[in-house]
Amino acid sequence: MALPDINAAPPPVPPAKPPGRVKVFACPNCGGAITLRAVGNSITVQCSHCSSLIDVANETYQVIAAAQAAIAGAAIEMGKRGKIDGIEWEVVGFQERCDESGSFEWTEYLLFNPYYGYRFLIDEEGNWTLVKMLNRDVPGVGISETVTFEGRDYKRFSEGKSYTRRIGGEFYWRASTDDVSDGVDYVSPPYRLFGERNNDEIIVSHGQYVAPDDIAAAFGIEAASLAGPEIGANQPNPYAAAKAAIVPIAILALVGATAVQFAGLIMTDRSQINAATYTFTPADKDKAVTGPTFTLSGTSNIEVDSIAQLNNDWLELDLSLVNTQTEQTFQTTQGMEYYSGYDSDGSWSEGDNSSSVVFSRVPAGTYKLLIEPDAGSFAKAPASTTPTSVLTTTTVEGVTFPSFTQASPPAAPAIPPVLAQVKVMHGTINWSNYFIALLLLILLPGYILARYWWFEASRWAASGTSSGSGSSSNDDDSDDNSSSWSNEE
Amino acid sequence: MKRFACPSCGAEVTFKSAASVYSVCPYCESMLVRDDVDVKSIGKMATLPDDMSPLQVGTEGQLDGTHFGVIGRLKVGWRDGLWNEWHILLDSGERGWIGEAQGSFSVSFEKDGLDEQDRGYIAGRIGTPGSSEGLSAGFRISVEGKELRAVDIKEATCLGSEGELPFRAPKGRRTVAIDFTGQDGDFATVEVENEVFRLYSGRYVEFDDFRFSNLRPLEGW
Repeated sequence: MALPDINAAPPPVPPAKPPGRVKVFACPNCGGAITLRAVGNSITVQCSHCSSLIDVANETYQVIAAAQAAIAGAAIEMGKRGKIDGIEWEVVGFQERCDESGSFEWTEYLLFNPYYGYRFLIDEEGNWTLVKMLNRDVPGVGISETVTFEGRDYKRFSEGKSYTRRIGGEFYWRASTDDVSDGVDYVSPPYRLFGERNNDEIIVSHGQYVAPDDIAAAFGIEAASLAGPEIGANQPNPYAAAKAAIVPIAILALVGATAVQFAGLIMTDRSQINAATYTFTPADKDKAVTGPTFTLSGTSNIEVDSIAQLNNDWLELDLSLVNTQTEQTFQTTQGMEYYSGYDSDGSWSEGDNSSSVVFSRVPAGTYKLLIEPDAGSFAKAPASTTPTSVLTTTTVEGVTFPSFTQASPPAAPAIPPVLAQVKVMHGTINWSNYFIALLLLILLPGYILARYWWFEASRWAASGTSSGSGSSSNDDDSDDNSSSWSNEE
Repeated sequence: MKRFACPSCGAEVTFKSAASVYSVCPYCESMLVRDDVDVKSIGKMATLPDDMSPLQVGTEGQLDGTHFGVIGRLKVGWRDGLWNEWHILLDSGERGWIGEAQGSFSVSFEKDGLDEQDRGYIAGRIGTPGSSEGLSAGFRISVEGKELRAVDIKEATCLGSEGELPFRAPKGRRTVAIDFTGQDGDFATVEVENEVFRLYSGRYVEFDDFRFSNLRPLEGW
């Protein structure tokens, strides 16, 4: 018979399948009601009444061990539900674990959702991490100091054995207070990679830090009871954002302030202190002609712009800026030359009859400018020429070469004097503002960087000793398979 | 699709896939084996253990844009737990498996040709059939040009089945199941049943990515 006979009575319709639901059964030890939440996944459950451990892998429900140590007063109760990142989780199990020394303890909650499976929620003294099994191979876990996962570098944080002290609820593995596991973890805050292995399984999991406030909000618990004073292995550095934000800003501001300052040096409004035209004669050679006296109210750059009337000659001015009170002296030299003539190619000229020099950062005070001239033509002068100097105009803007008057008649043959206009200018640069700005620009980033580094130092000070899934880097390598991560053929 | 009347109870039994040779009557739970023309009962399937799986025979979903239906299930147990292998039939006619263990979902398709060297490595370490004692996790095999690492080795026992399957899956069928993962979420499993090696490969898929419909109701969720 290949096909049902359509004329016969309608075939029986299959009964509706029951929905998935929790299973309640009597504890084989004490008779108390036990609620099994992750039916079909859980294989071990602890009776909440008598703390017996019951095997629920099959429906015979046998007591594995009577009166295992039970958790009392865990922060989140069994059966509580909370939404983290949009997925509702039910707390179905928890275990209190510790490292080899027993000094570092933490709690691992097992969270269940029938659609999304399991997560571990690890509470390390107030630092909370939500962990998901990865189902993929992450090369280097357990072997390398640094492993790369999804483009991030994770640094090895700790390695070692973890011991289970107390348990509660139900588990998809044979949980027991005799559990010891070998693990390693790597951090790249707020993320963390965990590796665990035994002979049959290698499990790599990925965790993300969850703020205690978010845990409190998710499970309806008072936030104050959740946070702790210690810095977590994968706790985000609270100064990381500020550091990331302020360091580029500070660098930009430093560069900007410096640029403005130096632009200021160049572009500051140069006000003229004095302009005078001097008539230098051979008699002035090696003598100091007194220039203007002026007062600076703040640190300034003093610029001296000179223009000489030269005819196939050179002029060199040794300039000294002398503080009239302290005798502090700044010196510089400016040279000018101008040559011209005719040759077969026509007329030519070379040299520059003007010169500009700057005395940088001259402090406040009263100064006089001394000018010692020398010119090519002076060498031809007889040594005994009477000093003649001076002349005079104090003009402003515009180069005016006044008719030249001599103090005494020159000895013949006269060597023509050299006329030069010397302009003294100053531009005030306020360096103190700049340095205050520098200080401010360095202080805040410096403070943030210091806090950032201090936080990282504290985090890593705890590394190697203990963690949520690994502990105590005690290298008593038992050379069995279970401690070998690189089981190559 | 082929329809048969259950030889035990008369209820309608369908074989949606031409490749299915085995089905469990949804009404009387008789295990039915079919040939081209007929179907016969080889006994009664025991009731499957309860679970909280959101899937059921009849659930539909998408895989890379191709619609599929769940047509059968294998419930597998090992020393320390259970998992589900859901048999799926894609609209393309391809048949595959969704492995569901502790809320992780893998999708795989049967492939020919486990690499001879890899097969030798595994065969050499399985002494008595069904025993995985000689194997330990961490070794690597090559599947379609990718290197995958053994991460999970289990001695598996079939606890029961429902719907239609491409092979007979009576309770008590024993295999060694070795799961492999790659760096990009690749997944493969090698199933060793006596001397027979079967290679399935695919990848892990997140629940939401299946865009499931006709899920099984779960009380309280």
